[in-house]
Amino acid sequence: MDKIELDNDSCKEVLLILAFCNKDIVNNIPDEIYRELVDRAALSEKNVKIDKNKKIDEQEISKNSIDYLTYLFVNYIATDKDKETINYLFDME
Amino acid sequence: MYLDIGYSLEQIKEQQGYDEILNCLTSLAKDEETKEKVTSIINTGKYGDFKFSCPSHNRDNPYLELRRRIGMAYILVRNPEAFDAIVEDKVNLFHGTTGNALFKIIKYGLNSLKASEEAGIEVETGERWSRIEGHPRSFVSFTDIIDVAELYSGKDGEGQDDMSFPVLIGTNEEEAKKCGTLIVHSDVPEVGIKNKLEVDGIKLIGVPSSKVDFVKKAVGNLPIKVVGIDTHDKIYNLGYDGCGRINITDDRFKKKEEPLYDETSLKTMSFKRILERLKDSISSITGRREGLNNGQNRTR
Repeated sequence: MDKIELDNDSCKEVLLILAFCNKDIVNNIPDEIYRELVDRAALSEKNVKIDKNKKIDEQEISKNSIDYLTYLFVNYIATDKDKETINYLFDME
Repeated sequence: MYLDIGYSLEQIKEQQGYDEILNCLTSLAKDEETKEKVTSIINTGKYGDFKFSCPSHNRDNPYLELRRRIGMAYILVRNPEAFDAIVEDKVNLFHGTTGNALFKIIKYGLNSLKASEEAGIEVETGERWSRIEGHPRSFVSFTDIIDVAELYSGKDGEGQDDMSFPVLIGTNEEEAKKCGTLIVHSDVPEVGIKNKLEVDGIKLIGVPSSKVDFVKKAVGNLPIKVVGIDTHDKIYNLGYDGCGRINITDDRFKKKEEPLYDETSLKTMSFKRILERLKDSISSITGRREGLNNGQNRTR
């Protein structure tokens, strides 16, 4: 995927989505990513609303945040089989 | 004015709901030892040499004292690890806020409105409601009654403007004294910590158990204990009109909140987004081809 430029509000959105994820997801993401996201989210003034009845992509968060969560999934969560499928899709492109 | 009010056991026992709440809490205790601890907490207001009430600015009100004790006893039966952490650092001052304010607190500490304005930080905690034009409040509110602090934590976000998750920031008298405290005229016991509480002064962050791993990651190497506190749910409802009750038949009591999203949720979202991006990319290529074809048509 292309490099994703995250603004401070998106950092906060990504963090608050991660807050609702299970511990395996949370723990698989490297500490330095949390550091960067927390530092940037601290500068955000956005009141992020998480609706517990909605899926991740149905939440009121930016496309940038969805892209970054996808980046985190591809790099730190996806299984080898998932990665094969993703590579196949990118090869199609 | 520094008061350290002692309450007699009779004063506590005559409060409305005393018997009911004590029976309920002891029935929730996992063993005889915990039952004894619960009874001692409710009847004495302390655990060993750790007294739950902050001696400064207290008022002679046995009902509020019972609420204070119930809050601690409930944490002991619901989240024993959190109780141990509270006792270890003698945490008896709490500030309720939400997940939206958490990152600023981890980075800048808890700032009063005045301190925030001076530092150019936007306030996201409950302190923002204290904004009076030209007279920003110069203290941060804490209370030694946990369920009062929880009222400010959004009670799980339901029906609140802030739909993230409840957060309790805890500190102790020692840290409060370092900052300086002042009297706050309020309906409930409230201690004003002057100016700001630095990150170093935060001893504990309490969040629902399902958020503990996340908050630990967010806190990183800071020497702050992150503990699961699940007493914010609505089954625990103490009102001014009586001591309320803990509804132990409520499903939410039996089962702690589970994380909302797992690997499959993230995978579904990611694949959907990847396909969306591919579709965009293919349409842009097709669009270019169509444009080329149109161009060729025009030259004919």
